[in-house]
Amino acid sequence: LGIVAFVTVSLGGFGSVPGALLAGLAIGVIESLSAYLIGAVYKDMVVYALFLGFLWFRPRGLMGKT
Amino acid sequence: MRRLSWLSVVLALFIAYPLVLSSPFQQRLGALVLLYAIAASAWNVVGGYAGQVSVGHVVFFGCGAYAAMGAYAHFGLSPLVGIPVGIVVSVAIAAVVGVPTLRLSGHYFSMATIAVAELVRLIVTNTEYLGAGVGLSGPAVPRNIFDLSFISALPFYYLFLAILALTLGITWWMTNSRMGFYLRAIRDSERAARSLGAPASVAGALYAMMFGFVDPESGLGILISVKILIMAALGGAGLLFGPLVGAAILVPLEEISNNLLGGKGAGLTFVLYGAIIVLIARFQPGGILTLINRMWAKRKRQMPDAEAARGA
Repeated sequence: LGIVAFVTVSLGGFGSVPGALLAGLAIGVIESLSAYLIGAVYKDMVVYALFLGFLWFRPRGLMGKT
Repeated sequence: MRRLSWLSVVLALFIAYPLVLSSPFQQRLGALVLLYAIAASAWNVVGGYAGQVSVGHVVFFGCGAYAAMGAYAHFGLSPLVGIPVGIVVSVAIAAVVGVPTLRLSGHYFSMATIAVAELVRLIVTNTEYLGAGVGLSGPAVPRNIFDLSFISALPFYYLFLAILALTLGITWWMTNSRMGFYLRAIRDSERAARSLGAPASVAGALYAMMFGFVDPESGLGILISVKILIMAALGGAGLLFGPLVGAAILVPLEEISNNLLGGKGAGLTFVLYGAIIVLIARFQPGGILTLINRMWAKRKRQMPDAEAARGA
């Protein structure tokens, strides 16, 4: 759980409070949906994979300062 | 020249260590120090020289460990056969993962490597073929010498020593030679990352052989990544011998505290790790070796003065 929290912060962008809020909401929804749709064991995998994919497009997270 | 003689003295000490301090515990301790020194030295190239703090280095370690145990568990081959497989897989992973992650900066790179490591760990934990949560075991009884299943840690010690020397040699070559200069000049930290995944993979394979098994926690756990990182940082990140110094301090500390405290105090090691992180970050970001180097330089600077005074 602690690692997912780190992922949330960097997904939102380090130093951005609204970003963390938004990312937290997104990750919560993604986790729950993937647990429901794909399987409970895969929920964290989906989060990590999407996180990595997302960094490809926005290397500084959702609202990170450039 | 002077440096070379120092180097040979240190090497001689390392060769003599398991023969002088020859209890099984001491030999095993020595082997573990060298093993972590290999992994931390491999980390050092990306983390120390290129300045990208990877927290996912355990992936390479795990590749080697799983390849070695997989070769035995699935094909009945010697775990040694798994070593080249592990190297190929970890270099491939480094190439694939390196493209999107190495262009990230600072914390984002660290987070991405953590995500990769956790992703791999979760995939392995859920793959029946790779032993899922239980892990894979090596040969219980050695069939021949190629199973590398010794009771004593002594053969492993010398094996690790050779690989450590090789790793440090490659690192030195990459940072000091003209070729290495070109490599860095074209900002080829990706290639460095790829090639230095190999020693970590070999270290993982030998680790699994020494302990006879690998499971997701011991082979791919985030804690191993953190340990590797702290060792390099404590000794001196970006310095050739930094990781070795760090491993030589931390591994005995952990093993001895585990031994003294038994099962009750197993978690206490991590309290220690936390304290060390805080202390390095606050007082000596360059690591212990930087401190020693600085003191050495200071003494050298004072010495000519003293000689001049004596001469006068």
